[in-house]
Amino acid sequence: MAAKKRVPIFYQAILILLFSLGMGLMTNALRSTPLPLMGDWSQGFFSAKAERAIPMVPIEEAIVKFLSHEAFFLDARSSTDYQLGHIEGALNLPVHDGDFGERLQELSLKVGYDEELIVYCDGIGCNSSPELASILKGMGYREVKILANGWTEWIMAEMPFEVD
Amino acid sequence: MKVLIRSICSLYANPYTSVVFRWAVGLIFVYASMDKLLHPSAFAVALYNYKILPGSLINLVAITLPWVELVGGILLIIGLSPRAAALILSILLLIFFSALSISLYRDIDISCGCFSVSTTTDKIGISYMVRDLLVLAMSLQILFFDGKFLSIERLLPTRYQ
Repeated sequence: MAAKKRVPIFYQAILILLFSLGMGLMTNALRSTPLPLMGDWSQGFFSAKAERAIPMVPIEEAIVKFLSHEAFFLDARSSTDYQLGHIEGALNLPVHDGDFGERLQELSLKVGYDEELIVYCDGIGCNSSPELASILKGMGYREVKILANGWTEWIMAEMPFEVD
Repeated sequence: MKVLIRSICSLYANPYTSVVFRWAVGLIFVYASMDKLLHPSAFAVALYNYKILPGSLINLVAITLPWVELVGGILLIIGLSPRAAALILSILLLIFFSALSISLYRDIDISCGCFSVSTTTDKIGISYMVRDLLVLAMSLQILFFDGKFLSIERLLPTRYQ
């Protein structure tokens, strides 16, 4: 009888891990918008840098980009605020809503990583647009900017908006 | 009392118990991997919210971890290398347990990201740690006592088992 030769479970485990790693990388590469392997997440337990500064865009520049369709506008406010009125063509991505994951997925299908994104919320110190902007950076979007006090500035500039 | 403890222990060490546990843990992990496989970027956000992983590792983990869960779960259900799969999943459960404890200690209000990638439901709490330990107990049972009953490995020639 041949000597029973067993693969130690430690090696089996490594094989399983390598297989899963390979499957993960492969399916990710096959996605229409693969997640970049190294995202630009600004924070972490071991690299607790201050939140990376995300460039602000002045309202005048935002208007130019809006009229020339150079940038995509993202509304970081709650869906109720969004429904009451938002920048024409802007997508709603409320960070604290339950379906945020699905909305992100939708965005990655619609908008390529090279496109310029302008994120806005309302009020000078509103937190949701920096939060959304750093998430988008981490996902791999290269050009993310914030329009400070966005909604108020937009209305004051009498620019087109939508209600739904 | 002694009799009760002894019978619980012998039930726990019973190789047939591990069949039930294999299916249970396997199904739990397969189910847990689904939402993450479908929404990797949202899962990356859930990982980011824990503020534990270094930023450069977040996406890589978001891409591969759901596959480890899926493959580990399937191997347990069909009974192929169940002990190796149980070893990996036990280590994962220990890591999840630590992540949950760190977050609860830091008192940060985040979603678990355990079964769904939603950012509002599934707020972490002590019950999540208890749940993790229960699954860990089942997973360790498989690691130490699996009797290969009803496993596909039984069909292989002994030298490959």
